[in-house]
Amino acid sequence: MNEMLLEVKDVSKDFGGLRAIDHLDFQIREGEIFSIIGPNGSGKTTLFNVITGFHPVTKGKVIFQGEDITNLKPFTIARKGITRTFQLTTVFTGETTLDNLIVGHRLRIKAGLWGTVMGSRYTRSEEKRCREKAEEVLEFIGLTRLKNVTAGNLPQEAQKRLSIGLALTTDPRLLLLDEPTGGVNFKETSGLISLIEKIRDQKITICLIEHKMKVAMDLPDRVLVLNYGRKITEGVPMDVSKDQRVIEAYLGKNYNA
Amino acid sequence: MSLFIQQVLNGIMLGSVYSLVALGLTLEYGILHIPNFAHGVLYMAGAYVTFLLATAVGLNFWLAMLIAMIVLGLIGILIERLVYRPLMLESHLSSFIAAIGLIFIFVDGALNIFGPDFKRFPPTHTQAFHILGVTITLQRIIIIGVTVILIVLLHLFIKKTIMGATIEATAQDREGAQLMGINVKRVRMIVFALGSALAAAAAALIAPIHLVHPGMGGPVILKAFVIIILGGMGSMPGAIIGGFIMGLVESLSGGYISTSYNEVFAFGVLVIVLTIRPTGLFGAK
Amino acid sequence: MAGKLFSFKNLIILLLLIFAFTIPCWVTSRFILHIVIMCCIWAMAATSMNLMMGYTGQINLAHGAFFGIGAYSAGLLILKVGMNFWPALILACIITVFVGLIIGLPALRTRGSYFAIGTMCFNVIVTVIIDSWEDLTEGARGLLGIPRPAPISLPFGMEITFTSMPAMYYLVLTSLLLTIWIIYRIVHSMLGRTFIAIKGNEELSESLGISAMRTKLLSFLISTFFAGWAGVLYASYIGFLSPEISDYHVTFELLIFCMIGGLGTMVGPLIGAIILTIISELLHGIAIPRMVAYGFLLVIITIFLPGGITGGIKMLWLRWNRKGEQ
Repeated sequence: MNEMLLEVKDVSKDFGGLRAIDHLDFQIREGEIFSIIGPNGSGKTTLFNVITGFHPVTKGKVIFQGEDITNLKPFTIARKGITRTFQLTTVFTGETTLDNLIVGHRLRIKAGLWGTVMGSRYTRSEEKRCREKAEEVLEFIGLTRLKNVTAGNLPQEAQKRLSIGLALTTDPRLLLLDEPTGGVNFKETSGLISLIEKIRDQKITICLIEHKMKVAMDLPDRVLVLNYGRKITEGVPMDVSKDQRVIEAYLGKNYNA
Repeated sequence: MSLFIQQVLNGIMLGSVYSLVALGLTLEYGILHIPNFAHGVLYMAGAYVTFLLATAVGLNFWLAMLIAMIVLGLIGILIERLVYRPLMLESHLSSFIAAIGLIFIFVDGALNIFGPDFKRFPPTHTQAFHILGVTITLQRIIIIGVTVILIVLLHLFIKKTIMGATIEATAQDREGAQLMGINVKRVRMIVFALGSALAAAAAALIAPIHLVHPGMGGPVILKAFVIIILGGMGSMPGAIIGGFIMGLVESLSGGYISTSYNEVFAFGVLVIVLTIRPTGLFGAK
Repeated sequence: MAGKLFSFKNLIILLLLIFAFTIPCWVTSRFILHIVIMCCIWAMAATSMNLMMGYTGQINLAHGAFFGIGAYSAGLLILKVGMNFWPALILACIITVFVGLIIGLPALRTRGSYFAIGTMCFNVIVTVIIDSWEDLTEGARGLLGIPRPAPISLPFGMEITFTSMPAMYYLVLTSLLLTIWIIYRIVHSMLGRTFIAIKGNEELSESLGISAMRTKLLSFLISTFFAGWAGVLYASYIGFLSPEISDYHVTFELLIFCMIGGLGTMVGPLIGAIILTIISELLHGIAIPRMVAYGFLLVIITIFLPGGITGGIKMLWLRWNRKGEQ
């Protein structure tokens, strides 16, 4: 049994009168691909926001590698090893692909003011490390030939790859991908699936939110199903896909499988 | 005690002026989603137009104010069309900077045309009344009265007319409004006309009491910003309540503390509030 | 090809440096030298403003206040405390950064429009305080008689004195060059990339482990440091201070320099400051309302040429290159 990497413990999140997440309990194990599915509005992205500190919890705890990270600021959580992507593809649109990636590794270096101005050897070697990491990730995500293109001009699929690459440059232990294959066609989806599997092979734990059934069910080791912010069920894809409650959640009570 | 009442009445009068200016500003913010930095010059221009009409043309106060409101409404439409519309899709910084350009044009234009001296409005409505041991001139009562009327009219317009509902819809969701077939461009135009007219009204009302000079928009617009930030940018009740609070705070602190520091006091309050709630007292997001 | 381009740029810079350093040799008119000195002072202030606005993307409208704080700190330390210019310069810069910290910490909790208005309010507050606290600052009467920097002793009994204009010019030029060099190094480093990331997308930066607050604060403090330094030079050169030099008009003028020159480039604020200072000093006597012209210029540039002069040149350069390829 793999070690528990992330634990979401009885987490609830309210927005004014609306309960977006309701007493949610689940765990993500080290090295697995974990996916979260559920109808629109079931709280999936809110969950990511809560885990990564973009929204504070109303109740409950988030524990990462045994440490309580509840309500920490997003940049602190990133430094602890959790990085996320955004549902609406988010990259630095004004910068080139390579420049995008270089800044991603910034959190692992010091970039002090004195060293920067004086051009100290330490600072220069740190900058070199960021560049090397960027080139490495560029190769990994397969965008080497697009390295000098302004990110805003990249096609959608390349932008998706870049946003995943950005997250990878932070050297995360847990990668949260919010709809990584949103808005790309069938062939591109397969390409992204391969990329995700490659990431898993690098010993990075992945948690993804997905709508496309192929990605959401074929790819992961375990699946969590949400509806109205509540856990419907959790388990291996095979079991989950046969669960009556899941079918009801997606298709309504009157559907007979 | 009578000093206190005098200051309170003064505060309400000041508050009336601030409310009208802040209302215009908050309406414009609701549609533009950027504060119209140049709102202060519309105020100042309103004062000068009223002044010109009253002195050079010799119109009576009410007519002068009305015409000034119309003129400023037209100027507001021009500004929206020529400056803010082209920058609609650009960053906020661009609109800010363009507004600063407008400020230079209007303020220094006024300086050059009218000169830097403080112009005195002809004595208007100077009959004095004695209530509760204090003296108050008719003009001050008029300020408060007209403000109340304008606020009520505005409220009725927004809540009871179709155009008003259109404005509210566009303020909440520009794209949704467009999908509903609302002509967003026309809405922006009308809102700017309204906002400018309100600023002109405020300036015209206070002109007989305060002096008219090119820089008069500055302190007023800064206070209007403080008001709408505290009251919530885009919130009409926030602008009204905030305006009166600002007027009272300024009047009372000016009466009991020194006047030169009362601006500092108001901004100090703003800074404290923003530190605790970075999006204003009633602001969302 | 790339090697040639590299040394071409350096050659231009070298020529400009030689030009700048030899100006006092072939400029005899005091008036022109005065303009040149003022250009340098404003260029320093504009370059530092550009760090926060052009590279970190935050609309800081309190910059003029820090210029004024630097100027008044030095003026007061020299005149009322009897300090020598050189330690006063350092202390004034430290004071400016300290005030920057006090203002920055609350102000940077806000964003966008709120930040702009908040900083503008701070600017006004600072001017009002300088104007009203007459016991300290002499208020509207102004602070008079600030001396030029004290002479620096050199070996063999020689001295560098700063009573002459050329000497002041070299001091100001050296400060400007140092400012440019330091900010250039910052901007072209990982730290600079961090600033640019914040400008690009704050949320994304946070998710990548960059603390928006700390980054913005650092950029803010660096820019106030150089603003203060420029203010000290102004105080010592002109010798006279009034509360207007911390006014929001100063902030707006610096803003115009950056915009017209080109925001977000190293060269932009320099071009803007130099061209506009020259124009405004030359047009001083003429009846053309300077600020009205500035205003129109600003509106037109914002709408039609948002990249300023630098942006315009880049566009022409690209078009020229494209024609060459055809």
